[in-house]
Amino acid sequence: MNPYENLPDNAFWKKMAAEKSIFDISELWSPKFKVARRHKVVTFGSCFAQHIGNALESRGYHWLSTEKPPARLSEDNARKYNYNVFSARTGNIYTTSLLKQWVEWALETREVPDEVWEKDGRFYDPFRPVIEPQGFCSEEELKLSRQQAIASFKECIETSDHFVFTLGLTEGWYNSEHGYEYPMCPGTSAGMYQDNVHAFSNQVFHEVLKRLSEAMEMMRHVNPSLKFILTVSPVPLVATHSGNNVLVATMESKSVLRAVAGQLARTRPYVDYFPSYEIINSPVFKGVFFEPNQRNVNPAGVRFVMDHFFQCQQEKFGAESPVTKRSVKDSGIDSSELVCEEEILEAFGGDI
Amino acid sequence: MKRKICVIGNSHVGALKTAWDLMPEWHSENELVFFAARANGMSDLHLEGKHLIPRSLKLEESIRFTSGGLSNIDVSDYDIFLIYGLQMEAFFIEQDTFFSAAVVRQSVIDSVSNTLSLHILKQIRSVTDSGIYIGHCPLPELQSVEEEVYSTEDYISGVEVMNDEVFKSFRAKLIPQPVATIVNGAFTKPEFSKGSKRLSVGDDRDEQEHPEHNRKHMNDAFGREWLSHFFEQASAGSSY
Repeated sequence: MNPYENLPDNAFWKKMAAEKSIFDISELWSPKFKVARRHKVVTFGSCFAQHIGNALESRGYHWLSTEKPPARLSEDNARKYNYNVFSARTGNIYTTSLLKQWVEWALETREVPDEVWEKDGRFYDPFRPVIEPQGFCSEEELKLSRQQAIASFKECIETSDHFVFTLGLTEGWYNSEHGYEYPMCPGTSAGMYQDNVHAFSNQVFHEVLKRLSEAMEMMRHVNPSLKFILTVSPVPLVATHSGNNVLVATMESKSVLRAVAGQLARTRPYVDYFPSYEIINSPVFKGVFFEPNQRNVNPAGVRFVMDHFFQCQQEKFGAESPVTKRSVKDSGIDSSELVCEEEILEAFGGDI
Repeated sequence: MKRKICVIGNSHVGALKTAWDLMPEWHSENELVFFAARANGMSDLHLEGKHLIPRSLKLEESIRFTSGGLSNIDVSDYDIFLIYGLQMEAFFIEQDTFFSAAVVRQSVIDSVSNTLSLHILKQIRSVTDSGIYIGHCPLPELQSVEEEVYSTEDYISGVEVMNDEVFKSFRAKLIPQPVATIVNGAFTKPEFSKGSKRLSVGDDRDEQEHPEHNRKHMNDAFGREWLSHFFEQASAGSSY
């Protein structure tokens, strides 16, 4: 008799993976808490988070969007202007420190910076550089829009039941004078890079953990019943400034993020980790869920991930009534439709 | 000299036609010729030279009946055009959320771009320099005093934005619904909906009253208010 003898099949690699078709692999997640249709779920973070919001909505779940487009704006143009991409119009929140920054702005514990970027008479938000495709018409308009996004983000914190956050990057760029963080390196999508003002940081485990913990605690302070579902984006870095090879930098970055998410899920009852990262990236799946560029996740991968999400929820908590709110694009948007600001960096790396 | 006005529309035109027939005092200065078909029947209208020609027998019959015998619209015959209803809806700028000017502009364009009204406007403007006015479908009837209250100023702002962003470029003008008919900023007063009747096109449903739950069609009192307001605007020559 030993402690392994009575473990379920999914505890053994041979039974779980080696002897199965990849499409028969199951029980990858044992959710901590139920996501019901009546629950308000918000999604933020890296590009991959968009799939989760879309999948929730298409299956009739209450994906909460607190910053909706005007009623008459077409669906295509709403996406062009970055509405209904995340639950508020924050743009990508790649790092845990950026998440904390948004939370601090929303809860008014930190002043919102005054910085704006101007080019050819148009104005760009350093914290949402591609939120308006042609920029804003004035500095005032930009600030009012930023204020709207912050207010909408605050509403998400205050009113949602589940906060889904997809961790994307450990690398980031800061204003060294004032200490605030940009989602994109200045000078890439907009703005002008200044060596003496802009600083690079590649956060290590304890920094990522600390900032995410603090962000969650601040949110729970105003909404004590809020629960978190963390995921790690399986999408490799577009580019790295770490000095490492981008493949090595990707593995290091994702490993740190994965470890942080696991640590928080293990130690906090209100935090769960959903293994979308493993489902896409595990060698078991042989890379079949990536597009030919070995970076973007293909629609089959997204569908497979999200099917697992709902299947595992059902296995643990029972079926929700079969309601389909939208029939189009069953479980996700095509990777070509994703809004990923960091992909602008590809333009700096020559042909791909 | 009388102004010859061509009115093109769908079922909503019924209220204007009834009001026109009830107001002979307007006839000394204006001559209105109605070309109407129920629902989206006007989508079968096709421009050939300077004539808008019906491409279906059903539309031809409807036009012949509503115009008093004409089989098509000779654009060169009219001083003024009024395109009424035909999927054009009022546009409201939502005040509780901030939107950039670019987003508002795109919303207006999206809201009108696939309407039959704009399609016909483009056809007419391509062959004439005459004044063209647009009337949107009536605001829905207020059903309950508990319905949300909007600001009439928001409605008027929406009309201005539609004119600035869309109709100005066609040298056309959207005429707002008379303020006297509006309640709670986004609804039509119930007295203007009571007893509304179907557009007469020469079939057995002519003049039937709309069912009680129909909130979108208005009566001749509404038509009177609307046309009176329209004549004022057209007299001021306020097309772009």
